Amino acid sequence: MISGFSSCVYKSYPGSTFELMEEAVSKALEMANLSYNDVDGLLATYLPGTFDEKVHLHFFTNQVRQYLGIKARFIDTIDFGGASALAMVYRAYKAVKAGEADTVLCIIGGKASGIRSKGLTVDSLDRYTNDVSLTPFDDFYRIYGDMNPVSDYALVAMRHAKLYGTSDESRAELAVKQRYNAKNNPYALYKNDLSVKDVLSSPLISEPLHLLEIVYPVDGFHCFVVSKRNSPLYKLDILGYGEAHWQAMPPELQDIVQTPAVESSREMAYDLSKVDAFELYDSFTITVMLQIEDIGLVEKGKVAKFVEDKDISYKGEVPINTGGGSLNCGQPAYMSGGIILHEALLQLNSMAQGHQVDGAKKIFLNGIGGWNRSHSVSLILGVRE
Amino acid sequence: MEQEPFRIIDLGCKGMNLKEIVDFYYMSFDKGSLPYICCEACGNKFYYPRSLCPKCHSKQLRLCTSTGKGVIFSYTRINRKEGQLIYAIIEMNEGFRMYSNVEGKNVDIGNEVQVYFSEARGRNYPFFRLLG
Ligand SMILES: [Zn+2]
Repeated sequence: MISGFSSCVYKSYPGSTFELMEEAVSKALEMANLSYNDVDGLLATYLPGTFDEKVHLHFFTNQVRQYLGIKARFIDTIDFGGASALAMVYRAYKAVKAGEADTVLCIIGGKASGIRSKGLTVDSLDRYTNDVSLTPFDDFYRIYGDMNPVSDYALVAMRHAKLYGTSDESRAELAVKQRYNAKNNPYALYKNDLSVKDVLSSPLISEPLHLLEIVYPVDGFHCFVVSKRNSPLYKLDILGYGEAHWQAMPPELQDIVQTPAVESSREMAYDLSKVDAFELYDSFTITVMLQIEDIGLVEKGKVAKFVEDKDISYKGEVPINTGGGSLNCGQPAYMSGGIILHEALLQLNSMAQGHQVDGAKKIFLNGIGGWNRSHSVSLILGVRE
Repeated sequence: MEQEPFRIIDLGCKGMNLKEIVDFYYMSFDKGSLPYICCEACGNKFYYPRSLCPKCHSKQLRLCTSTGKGVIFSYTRINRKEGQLIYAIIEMNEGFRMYSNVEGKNVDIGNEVQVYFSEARGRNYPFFRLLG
């Protein structure tokens, strides 16, 4: 099913975004033993400002194909931010199964360094240009000086702390435990020792979130090749899949301490005790903690104790974010779905050098997208027995 | 107690257009009152202006005026080079919630707040300060 995959991530890539994309695609095709001429499908996504700082790319998938030279009979774009990568692979899988294409490229990434150097995020580009809007209601809330997505997750962390007593220390503990996993991951950007004290003494960006609880936006692409052709990789199956897309503005939700992962994971009704590792979207420490609760590893409000008690290392009883996650690998183009999917594929193909989970046959992935946590995609990938 | 609605519009089947709603919002801000929308069909109360109820999709909407009192649902103190500000979700006594800023040093979730209006980007907008 997934015949090839690649990760090309840099803190700052000097060349053009198209060139960086090409690097990732060529690498993934090479792993799959396929050529550009074998490709007849494309799934892609981009966020404004991350393709050579262009706010909009007219006929985006045409531009991708024009650069790479890809003729296609199946094309689509996905617009779920951090949840896009998982949804792309599922859709590519369905298209191949239905005979709509033989080999589909799933491309996710871009360059964050340009936006980053302006002191902006992809969710605050509207402060830089009038050509971007975030919601139909921008006039009624963008005046309040938010720092989205950080400040919206900070509101969630603050309320979670108030309702359930979740401390700053327990969020910091999660960051420390993920760093342990990153130490042996060749793809990690951050590997130095990290303590709870280090996290809590890093600058308080948007209370209660500290700098070391927040992903660092970087330049990079991931490419996943979904094909019916044989490949050197293990044959994988999709054992479970669910999507949920919430439409309310966060203040309009019943509460803000839940994410749509509650619904996307429930759709699958999968026995979590059969899962060998979890790759959970980690834009912030609190994001991972919300998902640990929402996918049902522990009941709502009890995640602090879970993080304290459980060994979540790649050697542990409940391996979570086995490569250190995007908190340690960086967040390409403000969406980390590629990071967690890439790590899951390393694990399932016994390619996770230095941080391999023993006998990893089934992995639960969860992606969250949108500054307001509107998208959740849950996916279980398993090695065919 | 909820105040009398500022204006009741008979919508018929045509409903209210978004411009009418937004005009009412800005007019309210200028007069020092906080508007919201109440769905006549399902009772949903919401702040972010739409021409239909996002819950039941009825277009039987009533424009209302809040008492301006609420509590902090959640907040974050944002540290920027230009200084510190408190960004919050306020739950109004009528039941709807909205983003805003809160003025005050020792704020916490559950604290009572009162709306006030101040200029931003050349228009009046609602802001909050701690009550008492
Ligand atoms: Zn309604």
